[in-house]
Amino acid sequence: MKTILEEDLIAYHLGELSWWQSMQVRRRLEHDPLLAAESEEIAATLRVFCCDPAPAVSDAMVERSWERVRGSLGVLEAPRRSKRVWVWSTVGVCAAGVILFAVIADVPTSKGGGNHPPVQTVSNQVAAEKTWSQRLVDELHRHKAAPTPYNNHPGPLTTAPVDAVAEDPALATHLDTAERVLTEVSHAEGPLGQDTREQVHRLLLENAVYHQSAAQHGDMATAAVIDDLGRVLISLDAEPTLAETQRAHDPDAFRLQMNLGGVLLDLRILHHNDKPSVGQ
Amino acid sequence: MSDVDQQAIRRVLGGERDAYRVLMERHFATIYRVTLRITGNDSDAEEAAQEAFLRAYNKLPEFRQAAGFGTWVYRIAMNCALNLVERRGREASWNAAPLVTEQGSERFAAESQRGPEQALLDSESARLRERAMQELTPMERTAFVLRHMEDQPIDVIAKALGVPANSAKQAVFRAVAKLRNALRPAPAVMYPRALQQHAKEMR
Repeated sequence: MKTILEEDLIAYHLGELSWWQSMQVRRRLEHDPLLAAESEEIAATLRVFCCDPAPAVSDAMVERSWERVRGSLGVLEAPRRSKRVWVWSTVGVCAAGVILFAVIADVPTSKGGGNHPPVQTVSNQVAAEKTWSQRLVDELHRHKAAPTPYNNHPGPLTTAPVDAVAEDPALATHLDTAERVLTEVSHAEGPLGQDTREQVHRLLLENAVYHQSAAQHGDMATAAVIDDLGRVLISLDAEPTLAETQRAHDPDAFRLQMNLGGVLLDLRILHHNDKPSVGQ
Repeated sequence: MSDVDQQAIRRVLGGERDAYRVLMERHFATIYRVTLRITGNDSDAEEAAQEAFLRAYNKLPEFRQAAGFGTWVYRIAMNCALNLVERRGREASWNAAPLVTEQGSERFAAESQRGPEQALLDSESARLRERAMQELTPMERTAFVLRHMEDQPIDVIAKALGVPANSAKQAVFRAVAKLRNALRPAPAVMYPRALQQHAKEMR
């Protein structure tokens, strides 16, 4: 064991050491007279202070103290904590019961079995409100449909009747002609023929008029397609006569080919949309 | 907790504050004993005991009655007595009457039923003890009194005094070491008979 200090001896006499430590100290005290003398001195010090007689408390002192204390005493109430705990526990049990009932009642409904009516829970109410609001939004959209963006402007991909085309047969003829010419151009190889060039030039001149007509009708989808058609027609009209081998490597020709394909698609959609309205 | 205490507490909590007198009469002696040992004088002991009972009354609605009322108010009294001793230490004008006065020594002497000479020796011995106790800090004195005289465990003392258990234990050890040095027999001319008495006790 380590050197026994005064603190260890004090702890020994106060009973603050463990059984094992006490036994070790006792063993050392048996073999070390100096340590034993020091230990005895500590024990004697403690003995001096343990024999103080308990002070006598007279009735007069108790009466005097009571009178002093009584003057400061307020009227106490029974603790309300237990009442509050009771209330909260009741609320908790009720809430748990409601949740349990909702879960039990919802299980057969969710599985599709049983004839129980659906329980109107909070989540169901939220879903119903969402459905109602969604219906309202859909209704608004039906009355004021926003044009669908197409190439950053309203395009022909709509199920709505094509007003401008339906009201103007000349425009319908123009679009049909443009579709046919562009189809021929897209399938043709080599430089454009003279007849084709003349048709493209005529379509280009008419196209500006029909673009304005469609815009005035408010049919922006058709106007956008006519606008695109005009750009393709300008390119075709201005196309130089080049050899086939040179065209394959010309980036402008490749870009024109792509634009032409896009405009053709739009024209065919317009044509398709116009069929029911023409029938009506 | 005894039925008498429980019944008195119920009455107090029911708004009958005079029922608190029952609790005070039953436990005042114990509380006064510990406050006297900690404070070292009658007037402070009485004041600390009264403060302990007043605090206990105000906290009575929070008293869970798991422990006895006596134990509970005893712990409050430890804290009140220590606070009072520390407060007195800060008051420069305070000049408390010592624990061992003529009346006090007569009181203790009367209990021991000894002769006048023995009473004088006891008085001198008590005076030396009190002087040694005054060497201690309030914390050391309180911790020592509670551990050695009141036989309270260290963890209870630490909790009552609001310090870690190790601090309370070290305070007790320091107190014993200081008292040992203060009471160590030394040649003196002031109180030869009293020192002889101490030397006899030490042996």
